[in-house]
Amino acid sequence: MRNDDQEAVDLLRQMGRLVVPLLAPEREASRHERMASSVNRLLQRLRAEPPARRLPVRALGAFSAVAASLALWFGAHRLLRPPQVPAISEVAHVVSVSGESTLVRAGSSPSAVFAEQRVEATDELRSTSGARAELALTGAGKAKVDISGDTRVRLNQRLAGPDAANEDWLELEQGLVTLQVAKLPPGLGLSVQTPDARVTVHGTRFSVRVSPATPSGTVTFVAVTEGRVEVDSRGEVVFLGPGDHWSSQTSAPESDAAPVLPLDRQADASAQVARPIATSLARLPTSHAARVNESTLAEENRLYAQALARAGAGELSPALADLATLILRYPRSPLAQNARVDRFRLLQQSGNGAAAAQEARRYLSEYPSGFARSEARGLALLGLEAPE
Amino acid sequence: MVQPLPLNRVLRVVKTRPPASLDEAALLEGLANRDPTLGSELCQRLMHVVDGTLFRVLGRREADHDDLVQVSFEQIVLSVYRGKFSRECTLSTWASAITCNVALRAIRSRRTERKLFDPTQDVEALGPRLSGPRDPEAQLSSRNELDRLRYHLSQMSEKLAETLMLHDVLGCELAETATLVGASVAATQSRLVRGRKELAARIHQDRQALQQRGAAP
Repeated sequence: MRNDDQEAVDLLRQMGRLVVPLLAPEREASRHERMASSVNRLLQRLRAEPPARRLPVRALGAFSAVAASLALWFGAHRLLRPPQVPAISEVAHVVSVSGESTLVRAGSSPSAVFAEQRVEATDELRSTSGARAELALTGAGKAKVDISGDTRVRLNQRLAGPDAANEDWLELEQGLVTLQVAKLPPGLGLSVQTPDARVTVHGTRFSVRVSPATPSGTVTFVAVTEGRVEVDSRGEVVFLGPGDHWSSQTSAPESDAAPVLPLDRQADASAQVARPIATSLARLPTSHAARVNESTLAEENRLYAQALARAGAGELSPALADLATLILRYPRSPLAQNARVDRFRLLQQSGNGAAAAQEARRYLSEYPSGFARSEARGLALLGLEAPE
Repeated sequence: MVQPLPLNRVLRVVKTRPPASLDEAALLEGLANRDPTLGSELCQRLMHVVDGTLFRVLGRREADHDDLVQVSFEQIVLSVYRGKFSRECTLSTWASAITCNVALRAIRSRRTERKLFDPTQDVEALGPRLSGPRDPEAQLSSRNELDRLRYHLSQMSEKLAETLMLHDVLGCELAETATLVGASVAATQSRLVRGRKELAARIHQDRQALQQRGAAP
């Protein structure tokens, strides 16, 4: 064993003597520049934080006593005076970020978005392709906003309603945002302004997407999952209910029965599987794609709707079979990804963890950047740790 | 001791790094005060340490190499800012220790990710080579040995692997290693002995499995 030990040490030393190949000078320089700016950004971010200080134990004791007294005083003070409206300058905070997103603030240079960052009124968020950011708005709706890749959105608030509460409004220039809004008090709403329309809600879950149109301009798509949404476009006001979707190209609400893809039918399934839902609007086909696939869309819709209805009725096996049929027959369908996601969720709901993990792995291999990748990874890992 | 160069090595003229303009104390002071202009200075001083450590531990520059370089630099800055660097060793040694940890974590996470998500990766190829190619000579090639070594290190406890890497791979003295891992010299010595034994046992088992496979019809 002694010789074996020495051999292990020799191998370790051999690893330490590996010759590191040089990079081309231009690549070296570009890497140096990138790393230096990354370190500078980090230092700038740290500058924005209060300095980290270590207090001695005695000072901590005294500090705790003072803090307790202050807390009592503030508590009493708050009880005796009316609640204050939060400062309107902070309109949201970043819950999570993946990929690269930039925050553009008037008077400052653009900076990278990071978790827990505060977003101020009129700040603009720009996400790069494949990036994603989740924000919690501070307005009356306490809305959650999911910002998809390639999106530019400005956040703002205004005082509205009888109690002058903060009402959120977003200006979506490009890309996709998905919002979940709690029921708002009367007189208050949440608006998303796009180049083509203004979408106002009073407690719902919906998505708005702005895409470039040919030869110029933009097209706005709206999809509603829950509640009612008011769309005001060129003076025409349209109300959309659950399952409805609208496009500024057609300017008329489309019902579920139409041979156009449903925008977010997962809400029904989510009620049963009790899981957070990502909307399928990101996978909304363009009108051209919809025309090309028109012959099969109705059947794809029918299969998908049937699967969700069966899942809703607790018939999990037939629902799983429907979803499998949809994937097998129409592997290129924009609904195929949703079907895969629904399959691993339903499998998990049915208690078949191993099959759910396997399905989640299949989903990850087919859609490595898919909208449910985090959830699938968690499930795949669970499946690995606790095989059945 | 001078190491003989392999025969296929080609020598070329390399531009030397320009000298750092700040001394180490001033650089550390600036980092602790969050001076946002020190990125270039820090990179100039530590890039070869970070890059070299990552290359040696990981064995190659993969697609995420630059990401790991960036993570290492961020960890270095944060550790200095948060006062974790006690200045009992040089900044370069501290940087190589942090980078070593980043690299070990990367090996572990790559192993998990590939096992789970890369459909082209043979899961068994990441574990003991029981079903690999049947040419034992090829299996025992130097590069393969080091890859196996990396695999075994990623399987060991973090404390043991870190101690082995710092002492035996990066060449830190025992006292220095003890400072870097935050343990006493005696505890570090014990970890070193246990780590080497465990690593040797793993290599031994691996070889036996290979030989059995080679002997099988």
